[in-house]
Amino acid sequence: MENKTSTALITGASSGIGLELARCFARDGHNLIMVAHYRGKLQEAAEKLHKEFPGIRVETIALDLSKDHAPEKLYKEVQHRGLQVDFLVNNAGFGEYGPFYKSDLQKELAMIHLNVIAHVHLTKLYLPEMISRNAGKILQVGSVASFMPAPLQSVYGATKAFVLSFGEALQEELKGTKVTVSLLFPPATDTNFFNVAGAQDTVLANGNLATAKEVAESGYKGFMKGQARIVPTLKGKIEVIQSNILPDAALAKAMKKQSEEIKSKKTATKKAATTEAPATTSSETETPKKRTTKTAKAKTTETATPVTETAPNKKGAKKTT
Amino acid sequence: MENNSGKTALITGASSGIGYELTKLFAKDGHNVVMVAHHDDKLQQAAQQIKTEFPLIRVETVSIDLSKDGSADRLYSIVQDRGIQIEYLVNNAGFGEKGQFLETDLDKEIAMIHLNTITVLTLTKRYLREMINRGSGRILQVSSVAAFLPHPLLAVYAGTKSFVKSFSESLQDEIKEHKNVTITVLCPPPTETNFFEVAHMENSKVVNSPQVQDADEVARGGYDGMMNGDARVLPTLVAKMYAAQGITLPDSINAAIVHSQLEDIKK
Repeated sequence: MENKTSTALITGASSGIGLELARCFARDGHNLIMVAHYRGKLQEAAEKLHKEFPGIRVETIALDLSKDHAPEKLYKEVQHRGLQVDFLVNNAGFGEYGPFYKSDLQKELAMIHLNVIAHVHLTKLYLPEMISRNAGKILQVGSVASFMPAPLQSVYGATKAFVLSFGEALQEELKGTKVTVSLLFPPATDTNFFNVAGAQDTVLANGNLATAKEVAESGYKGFMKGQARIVPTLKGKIEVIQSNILPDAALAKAMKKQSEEIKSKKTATKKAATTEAPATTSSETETPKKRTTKTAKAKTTETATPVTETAPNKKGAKKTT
Repeated sequence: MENNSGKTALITGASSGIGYELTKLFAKDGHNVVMVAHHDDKLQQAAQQIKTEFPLIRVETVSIDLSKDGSADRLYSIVQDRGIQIEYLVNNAGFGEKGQFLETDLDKEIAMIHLNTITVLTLTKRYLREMINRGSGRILQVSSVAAFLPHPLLAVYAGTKSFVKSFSESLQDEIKEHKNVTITVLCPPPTETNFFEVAHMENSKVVNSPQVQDADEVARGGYDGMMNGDARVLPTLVAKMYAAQGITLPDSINAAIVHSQLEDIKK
C-alpha cells in the first residue's frame, strides 16, 4: 500500500456502509476524514482503521449534519486543518418507519435536512474547488428505494428519489470535466439503519440483507472507475430492473409487504409476503422492497443503543439480539 | 353552479399561475377557499378578483413565506384558529432556479427545498391526519414532469419534484383502505406562469417553444383528477409525452435532451 496524499471525506463513517467505504479508501492508501454524529463511536471506528492501516492519516470530525449550517462548519473545519478533499462521499442518512400520518414529523424533518439539504450543501461546497482543479470524485449514496415508491418509509424513499434525480442532473452538467459524480444504490443492507428507523421487526429487516462490506466494496470499485450508476449485488440489480418494468402501484404494493412487521419472527412470514411481486426472481423476499431502512417505530431512534448515530448508513439496522 | 358546498379548499401559491386557476375552479364549484401566498399585495388582488367573480363563497387569505422554518405549522395554526376545516388541500406553492449547480445560489436552493418538500410534507402530515380521522378529504400534490427525467440546469428543482412524486405515491398505497381520502399527483409540463421569471429562465429554448401550456388547462386537469380521486394527472399531451419519454429512454439520454432544451436560445 503506497502512501498517497489524496484524501477522502466520508459522512456517516462510524458504522455501516460509511465505515466499510472508509476501509476501502484506507486499504488503497488514501487518507481519511471520517465524519459522524457521535464522537465516541466515531473515535472507536477511527482507531480501528488507524490500527489496520497505520500508514494513512485518519482525521475525525463529529457533528450533527442535520442541523442548519453544519455543512458549512464541517467545510471550515476541514479547511482549518489544511486538508484537501479529493473524494467526497455523501453517505450519512437515516430513515423512519411507519404510516406517514402517524410517524414522527420532527424526525422526518431532520431526515430531509440530512439526506437532502446537507447532501446538496456539501456538494455545493466541494464542487467548485474540484472543478478548479479539474479533478475530484463525488459519491452520492442513494438507495434502490430511489427507484420506487416506499410505503411505510415514504419520506426516506422520497429523499432517495431526490438523490437520484439531483445526481443524474449533475452528471450531465459535469460532462466534459474530469470531475465525476457516481451514484450508489444499495439494496437492503445489514447496518443499524433498521434500528434507527424502528424497523427491526419488518419482513425486510429479517430477510436476506446485503452486507455493508459487499455494498461498500462494490461501490468503491465502481466509484474509482468513475462509474455513473452502481447497484451492488444481484438482488439490487434485479430490483432496479424491475422498477423499470412494473407500474409504480405494483411496486408500492410489493414494497409495503416487505415493510410490514412480522407478528412473530418466524421466517415463514417472509415467503408469504413476496407473492405479490410478479417479477420476483430469485429470493422471494427482496424484490419489491428496496427500502432498506424503513424502521418500525420512530421512537427507537434515540434509545436503541446500537443506533447512537442518527444517521446510520442508510442501510438496515443490525438485527436486534 | 355557485351554491356554497360548505366545504373549504386550502391552496398554497394561490395568487397567480396554476394555484390561482385552481382556486377559480374550486370557487366555481361553490367551495370556500383559503388562498395562501407569500406577497400580501398580490394575494389581496387575486382574492378580490375571486370574491367579485364568485360572491357566494367565503374567501380567506393568509400571506406567509412558506419557505421559512416552522411556517407550515404556523399556517396550520392560523387556519385552525379561524375555525376552518379543510376538505381539500392543494400543495402547489413552489419555485425553481435555473443554472449550472456549480453557480446557482445555495440559499435560494435551500429555500426551495423548504418550500417544495418540507412544507409539502408538513401540511400533508397535519391535514392527512384530520382527513383520515374524519373519513374524508382530498389532497392535490403539485409535482412536475421534471419528476420523470433528470433536469440538468434545474437539478435541485427536479430533485424536489421527484421527492413529491415518490412521497405521494408511497402515501397513496398507505391510505388505500380509506376510500374517501385521496391523494392526487399533478405533473404539469412547462406552463405559462411566473415560474420562468422567478427561475431566471425566460430565454431557455423550452420556454420559447410550443411545449409551454396554459395554466388554466393544467389546472383543469388537476382539479378534475383530484375530484375524481385519480392517482396521477399528466395534463395536456405535452405532459404525457414527457412522462412517456422519461419512462422509456435511459436517464442519461433524457438528461442530455433536457439539458439542451433548458439552455438559452442562441441569438
